Formats: sequence, C-alpha cells, structure tokens
Amino acid sequence: MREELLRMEYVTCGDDNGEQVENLHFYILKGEVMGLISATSKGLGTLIGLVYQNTPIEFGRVWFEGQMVNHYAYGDGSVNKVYIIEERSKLIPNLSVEDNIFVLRKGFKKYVINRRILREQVKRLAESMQVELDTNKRVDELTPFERCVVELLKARLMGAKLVILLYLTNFIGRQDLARFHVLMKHCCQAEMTFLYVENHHQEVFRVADRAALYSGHRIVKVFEKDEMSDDTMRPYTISFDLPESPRRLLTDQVCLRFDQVYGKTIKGLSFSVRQGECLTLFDMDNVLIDEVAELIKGGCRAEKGKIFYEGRLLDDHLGDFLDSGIAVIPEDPTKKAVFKELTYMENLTFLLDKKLKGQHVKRAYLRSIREEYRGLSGDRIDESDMKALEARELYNLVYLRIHLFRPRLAVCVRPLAKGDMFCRRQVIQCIQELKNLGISVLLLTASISDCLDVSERLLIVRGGRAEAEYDESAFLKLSHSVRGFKESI
Amino acid sequence: MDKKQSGLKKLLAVRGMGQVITVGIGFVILYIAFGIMNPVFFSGKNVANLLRQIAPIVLIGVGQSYVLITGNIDLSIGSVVGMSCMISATLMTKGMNPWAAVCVTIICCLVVGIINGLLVAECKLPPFIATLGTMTIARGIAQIVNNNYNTDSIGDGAKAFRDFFYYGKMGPLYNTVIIALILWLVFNFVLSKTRTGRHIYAIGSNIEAAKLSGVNVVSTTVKVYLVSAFCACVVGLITCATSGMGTMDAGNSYEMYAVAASVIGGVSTLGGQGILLGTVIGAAIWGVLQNGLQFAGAPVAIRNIVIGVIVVVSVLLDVIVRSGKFSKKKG
Repeated sequence: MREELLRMEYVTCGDDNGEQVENLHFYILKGEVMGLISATSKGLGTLIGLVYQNTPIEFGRVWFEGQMVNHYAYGDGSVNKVYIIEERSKLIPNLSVEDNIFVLRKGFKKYVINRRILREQVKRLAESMQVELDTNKRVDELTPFERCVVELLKARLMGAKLVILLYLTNFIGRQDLARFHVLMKHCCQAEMTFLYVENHHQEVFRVADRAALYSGHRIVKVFEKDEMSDDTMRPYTISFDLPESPRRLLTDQVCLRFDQVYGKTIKGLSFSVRQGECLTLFDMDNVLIDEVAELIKGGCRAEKGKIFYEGRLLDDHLGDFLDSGIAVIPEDPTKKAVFKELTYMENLTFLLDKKLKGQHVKRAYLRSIREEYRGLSGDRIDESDMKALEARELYNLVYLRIHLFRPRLAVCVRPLAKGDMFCRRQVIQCIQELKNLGISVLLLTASISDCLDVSERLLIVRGGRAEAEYDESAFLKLSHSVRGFKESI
Repeated sequence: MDKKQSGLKKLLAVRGMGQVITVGIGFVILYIAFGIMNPVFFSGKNVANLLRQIAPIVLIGVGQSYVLITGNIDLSIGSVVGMSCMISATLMTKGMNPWAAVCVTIICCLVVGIINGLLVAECKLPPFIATLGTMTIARGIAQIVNNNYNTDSIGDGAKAFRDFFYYGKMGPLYNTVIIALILWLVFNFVLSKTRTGRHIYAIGSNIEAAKLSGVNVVSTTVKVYLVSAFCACVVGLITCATSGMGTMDAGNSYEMYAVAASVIGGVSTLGGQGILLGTVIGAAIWGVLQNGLQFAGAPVAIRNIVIGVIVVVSVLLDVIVRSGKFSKKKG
C-alpha cells in the first residue's frame, strides 16, 4: 500500500481576480507521477502556490507527508519540500553546475571551496540517478534538457519530496522529453514524486500514473491509468472542429522557400510554403524555431543556403519584414504582442499606418474598422483597459491585428504553447480566418497537439533538417483520426 | 444627464486622464490653501511671476516626460541647460549675432541628444549610466567654453534676445510663458496625435511587441532624446536671457526638477504611461509649492524636503498601482 504524500481536502481560497480555487480535492501518492491537465488556467497558479507554500486558505485542509500543514484556521506561510521546474531557470547562469548544486544551498558550511571534491560529488550524484553530466559546463551553456536534469539533482539534494514540472513541452524537445520521462520513472523508484502539469491531455497521459483534470477552479476528474484515453477525456473537452470554410485551391506559387539553409541550430533545412497554404513545421528537438523566425524577420542571416520570399532572395529586399508583407506572431503573444497601456482600438490598429504606407489614419477609417471588427471582437473593441481582458480575448486581439493588416505570410511561433483549452480553440479559429483571407501561414511548433486541425502540410524536423513530410491526405491515411496520428508521432 | 455622463466617460477614457484629474484636484487644493494663508498669493502680479517661474520647469518636464514614456531617463538635462546658457552667452560676448549664437547653441545641444539616444538604443547602455556620462561631459563643456569663468554681461546688443526669451510680454503673459505654451502644444500634438507619438508609447509599454510591429526603436529613442535636449537648450537660453550672462552652474539639479514635474503629473517611470497635460500640472505643483512655501516663510531645506517627499510618494503610488495591488475585478 503506497503512502500519501499530499492531500488537499475541499480547499477554497484565492483573490477576486478570478484566480481562486474552489472545493479542490485530490491527493498524490509517494513515488508516482501525478498528471495535472489544465483545461482552464484560471486559479492554476493558486493551486501550484498552495502545493508549494502553506498560505492561508478560506476553507479545507492540506496534508503533506502525513502532517496537516494548512487548514482554514491556520496557515503559517511555511514552505513544503517541493521544487518547481519550469521554463524560467532557478539556477545562477554564470556559475558552474557544482556551484549551483552544492554551494548554493542552505547546508553548505565550508568556507573554502574545493572544486575537485565538488565535481566528484556531482559525478556520484549523477551516477546514482543514471544521468551523464558535463561538469565543466557553466549553467548558461547547458541545453534545456541538461538544465532540467541539474535542477532535478538540486531538488533531490535539497530533500524535495515533490517536484512540480510545469509545461515541459514548451522548452524541451520531443526526444529529450522521452529521456526525461525515463529519468522521472527512475527517480520515482527512489521515492521521488512528480506533479506533471500540461495543457494537453495527450502529453500527460504519456507519462502519468494518474492524472487530474483541472477545470473551472477545481479538479473535475481523476483518471486512473486504464482510463487514460481520448474517449474518456472527450466529455471534458470542447470541440476543436471548425466551422466549414470555403475549400481553397492551392496554387503552385511558392510564398516562402528555405533552400539548404544552415545556421546556429539549422543544419541544411529545406522547405517551402505555397501561397495560401498552412504549413506546420514540427521541430522534434525544440531548438531551431526561434532561429527560423529570426531569419524570416531579418534579425539574423543564414550561414549558408538561400531563403526566397515570393521568388526573390529574402536578404536582398527585406528592410522591414512588415513592409514586405510578413507578420510574425511571437510565442505567448498576450505578453509579447500586446501594449497594455494602449486601448483595444489602438492595439488593433497599430499596424494600420504600415498598411497605409505612413498616411494619416482618418477618423472615418477608424470608425469603419470599429464597426467591422465589432462582429469579431464584440463590445471589447471599446475597452480602454487591456488588463480587463481575458487571455482568450487578448489572443483574439493579436490575431485580429494581423487579420486587419492582411500580410501575405503570417509566421506563428509556438502558437499553442501557452494558454488553456479555450485559448487554443480561439487560436485555431483565428488561424483558420487568416487562411480564409488567402494568407500563407507557417506554424513553428515543438508540440504537435491541435496544430494539425488547421494545417495542410506537416514537416517534421529533427537534428536541424527536414526528416519527413506529410500532406493532409497522408496524415489521414496514416491514421483514421487526426488525433490518433498525433499519438503515433 | 446621459450626455454629461458620456462626456465624463469620454474624458476619462483619454489615456492617463484619470491620474491627471487627480493631480489637478491636488493642485487646486494646494493653490487655494496657500492663497488663504497669504492673499497676496492670488494677486495678478504673483500669478504672472509664478507662471514665468513654472515655464522652464514645464519645458524640461516635457523633455523628460518624452524620455520617461519610452521607459528611459535623461540625467543630462540640467547640464545641457548649463551648456546651452554658457555657449550662447560666450558667443554673444565674443560679438556673434545673438540669433546665430542661438542656432549654434541649438545644434550643440542636439548633438548631445543624438549621442544620448545612440548610446541607449544602439549601444544598449543603461540610460542611467549613459546620461550620467553625458551629464558630466556637458557640464565640463559648460565650464571649458569660457575657460572656467562665468561670462561677462551679454550686453545691449542682445536686448532683442533677452526680450524674446524673458522680458517681453504679449498681453498679460510673459514671452517665457508663451514659448513654453507653444512648445508644449507642439510636443503634445506629436505625442498624442502622430505615429511617432504612438511609437513612443509602444516602446515604453512593450519594447518586444514594438519591434515586432515594425517600430524603429533606435530612431524613436534618438528622437525622444532630441526632444529632451532641445527643451533643455531652450531653458538654457531662457536662463541666459534672465541673468544676462552665462553661468557655469546654470541648470544645476534641473534633471531632478524635470523628473519631479513628470512623475507628479502621472508619467510613469516604468514607461508607457502619462500625458503632457500631467507634466504641466506637475510643474505647476512644483512651482506653487516653491512659491507658497516661500510666502509661508519656510526655509529652502524644508521646500526641498516637501518636494522630495511628494516625488517619492508619486513614484510609490505608480509602482503600487501598476503592480495591480489595488486592482479590482472587472466586468
């Protein structure tokens, strides 16, 4: 019989900003990988915060390692033996691995540091977890996978009983993720416990022993191992089926072409996007996406090879990528593409002067845009405070800005990496609307989930070069259902 | 009633207007309070003098506000004021035509603005360090331009210059006030109605999004530092016209007055927020406090302490409001 590590009983707490949890009830057993699927993101931060720290709650009880650590009448703000691994590193980048693991911890008493002994200790610790680590590297030279391994070692040394893994798929490549899953299973045998948080249920089902579905401020369902399938998940998800859009005949005209391009992370990448086509570039290693986006934006140059845009060399005419009809939507656009101090209309029409080639934007234009886009954004178009908007509405705003700008090529960087199920649904719909305008769309992603719903072609990239390519009919042939195909990948 | 409500709603919907109204109410209360303490405070002569005292602070406040809205800061303003004062006065005492001297002075000051902009935007130096450096350089130039001496009187040949910048009047308003008013109107138009103005807000609000939206960050940053240097230059010319000579320590601590006027008026030190109407009210509060406390017999030290406290509280409030600690659930 396995022991419980954490138990939350009918916990209610939170602020007035919609970040509350209500009647939260679940438990985690020692030595298991507990999945947490976030169907909605509101309140999830509060939940993670409560697992980590015993801040006051309004109702309920929390047990950790058999001790009641928090209840409605008592919350001392103490910290549980929990370590969180997320996209933002907790290591000091300019120091070595051994400094981060051994020197920067509470129990380290030595005044003079003996590097040789520390390296030996790191080596021993790594071997005990069956991982290989290059101790000569500084932390800022580590790959995301290595960084996570170092953080895991640090967590173990610090005596963390529970490691929370937040959205690993956003920053670790597919192959490294599989290696990390093996490492997690090994750690579980040594009584380490994991809470694996992801937006996509497929990602969680792949590794978790049990999985909890978080939606609407509470855990609505816990899936046992034998229940983990798309069918059992279906009642709890929203439909991603898009309304029927007019069938477009794609021409053979090429909008963007990479021809044997080499760069820091790109090793001979070749692909092309036809006009009006939506291509998903799936990077299995999750390393070259940013460089591809930078190359298209003109932020850096290829070391070798050629990039053609509308038949001309990209380097020759790309002064301002927007002037050339290219729009780039960054990862997490609610943070990176929204001006929080401007109004909704100002945000929406920000690219308008580019479209009008610097002409004065007449009030009549703005009035007409306001009326035209009211249908797509609702009354939010009159909003002057961006902080009042939900994440889904912010995503909508960013894509509507591109919709209004009407570029000839839209590049979306990890479009579905952030945001809950409703945001993802919104993004898919927005991409579909861009396609309906005849805009070519390039989706750069490290997670295949849901992207195929709008794609006409899928390019799988591994080791910096294209490894396989499937068109829409091919991925339907490979599997009866698109979702099944995703599983097989 | 509905019309009135929608008018108020429209007014409040203007970016930063809520803060400006709050500060404006504070200003009115201060003004009335000092007036009650000493009725001379309300006299026409005092009001005219007060306006003339406030005008240079409005100008440097406008320059600093431009820079602050982009999320940067300009510490060289005070030294550029000194440099402008000394260069113009030295050239005039050497017999140069005053208007030619004004042109040369403006060019010199704009060079400082360009250097500031390039150091911050192109060389990516922290604005605090970059402008700290140019502050020292500009002050050094102010000292070296007349061999470490204040200049002699700029003389009667510069009467037109002195009238234009300080002594002249148009109706009840001194020329200094009119110059400040015209420049304020121009820069307010640029900031609130033009593409450049929108780009300035965008850089301060989210520089990454601005880059992705095709905003030329380097050119826009250089522009804001140019505005700042130009405003400081005009204040330097006003200072020269006021004293009729060049003084090496002209404009000392003006960078702090500029920050005070901007911040009290609701311009955020974190960038992306604030309007120039707020800067005017901020400068007015600064002027009323100086003038009112002087009437009340408070020593200079007390005046400085009061203004310092108000600046710190303004920045603190801005940081608290922006961190969302007071925000309430909407919709």
